[in-house]
Amino acid sequence: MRPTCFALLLLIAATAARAAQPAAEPAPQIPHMSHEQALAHLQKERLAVTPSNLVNPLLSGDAETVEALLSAGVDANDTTDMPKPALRLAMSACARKLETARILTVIEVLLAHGAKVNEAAPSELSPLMVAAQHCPAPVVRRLLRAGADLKFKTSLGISPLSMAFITGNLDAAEALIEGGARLSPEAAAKLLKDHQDDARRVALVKKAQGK
Amino acid sequence: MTRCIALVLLLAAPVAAAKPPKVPQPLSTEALILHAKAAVGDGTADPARDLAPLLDRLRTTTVATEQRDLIQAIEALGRHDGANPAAVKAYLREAAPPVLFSVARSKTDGLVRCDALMLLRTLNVRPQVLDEAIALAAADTSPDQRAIRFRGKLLAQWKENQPPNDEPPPPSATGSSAKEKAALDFLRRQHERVSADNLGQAASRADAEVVAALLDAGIDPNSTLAAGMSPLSFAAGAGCVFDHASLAARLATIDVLLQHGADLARKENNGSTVLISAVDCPLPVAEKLLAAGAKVDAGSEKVSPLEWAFIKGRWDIAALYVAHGARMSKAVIDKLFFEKPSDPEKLALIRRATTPTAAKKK
Repeated sequence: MRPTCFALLLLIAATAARAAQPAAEPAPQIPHMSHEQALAHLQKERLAVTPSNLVNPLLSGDAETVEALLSAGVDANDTTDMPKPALRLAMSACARKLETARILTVIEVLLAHGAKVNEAAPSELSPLMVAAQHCPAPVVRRLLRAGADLKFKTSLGISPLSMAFITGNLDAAEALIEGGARLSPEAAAKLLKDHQDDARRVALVKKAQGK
Repeated sequence: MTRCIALVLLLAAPVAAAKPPKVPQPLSTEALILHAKAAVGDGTADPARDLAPLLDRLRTTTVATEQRDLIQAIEALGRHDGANPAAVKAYLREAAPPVLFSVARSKTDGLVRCDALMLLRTLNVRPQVLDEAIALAAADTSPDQRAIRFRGKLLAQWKENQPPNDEPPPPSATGSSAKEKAALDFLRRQHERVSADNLGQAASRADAEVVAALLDAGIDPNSTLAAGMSPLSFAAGAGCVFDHASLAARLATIDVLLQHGADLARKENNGSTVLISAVDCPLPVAEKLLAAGAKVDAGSEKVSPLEWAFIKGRWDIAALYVAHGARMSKAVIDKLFFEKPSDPEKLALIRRATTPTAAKKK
């Protein structure tokens, strides 16, 4: 009885959300759970309440299980039991060619549970950095709306925008430039080397230099 | 009815099995081997008690398969380059040859006789013992003489190629020094396994006391562990990533390994060196390794320690390596950095790294 009730509520909530927001990108359906619902879901999936159990659902875009683990008490920013922080790992899911909507839903769940968008450790990659490599433009835009740092650089001086160009993810590059990312002349020259024939890339690099 | 009988039988069987046999049966060869391996594995081995029965059985049995199993077991326990306690190796090196000679002289299976001879090489017996084996093989007139004589030639060749001063140390009177006994007692009390793998684990979590005891118990400080790694690369590398020991404990562990002869110049299987591993550690680890004589230019084919420090964003360690003379060409730096940092201190370090040292060391 309860799950049906829950699903119904979700449907109503989702419809309401859709009606309220006539945006170009459909708002993801966020599976909110109470503590009890979360524990019931985890029992059904036979999962313990431990951060490392986030890895699989994050990489497969299973927002319900992510929600269940976080609602049951797992810290969205754990790094003791997790190989990488959850939001960063969620971005790796883009490389698996998951549906964009599913990744967006997972992001909403993580943000709702306080996942940090910008990481501190200098030798680690930020979620935006990973998104620049693998993710479609809507995912990049969502991170920017959440305050992701465009000026982040790796220890070797690669910014998210440079990274998007290096990996050839021009959709992401465009989203980053629209969000205000810019290139130094040094970076622009390196990114155009051997790519003068690629009209879209040349135009984007120009735009990113404010030309 | 049949069901009932079966049930009674089922209940009776374990009771019967649980009763100790009145006459003690001699242990099977397989059981002897398992017992010896277990005793060595958990660090409780007393050679005279746990290993002598293997040699006695090898002397008395005439079953070729048992002889072969026993020879293989002695090889596994006593190989001179293996990770077992020194007392075990020393005991087998001294006590096994007479038995192996009797097998080699016997009329048993030719391949078993060959294995008995080649085991002398694995145990790294003294040159005089090797000479005896070589003479024995050369004088063989059995139907297997071709195979036996060939093994004799292999032993002679091996003996010739041995470095001259590589004679194993003479065994102490007890077969085990007081230090080793104390170390084994300590490890037993701590429930620590006496194995090279455990040395890696203790080094990783920077447990200096256990590391010292394992080394005193005869585990090789330069053992090759999982993924071809050395104990030192666990203590001064991987351990810094996965374990959160205090810096003092880590430095003490590295000291113990170095005092026991851990090789600072070793290249890991992945080509990495100790100053590359140390980039994952707090700065004082790299300082200690350099003070102990690690070479700042010793890198893998792909990357130097300095390059790796830059890649990992460890500016403190990069500065240390540059201060010790590590240098990179401007071309390599340009390739390495997509964009150079804007921080003036970092830029100054990069400039120093590309400036040739005043006095070039030879």
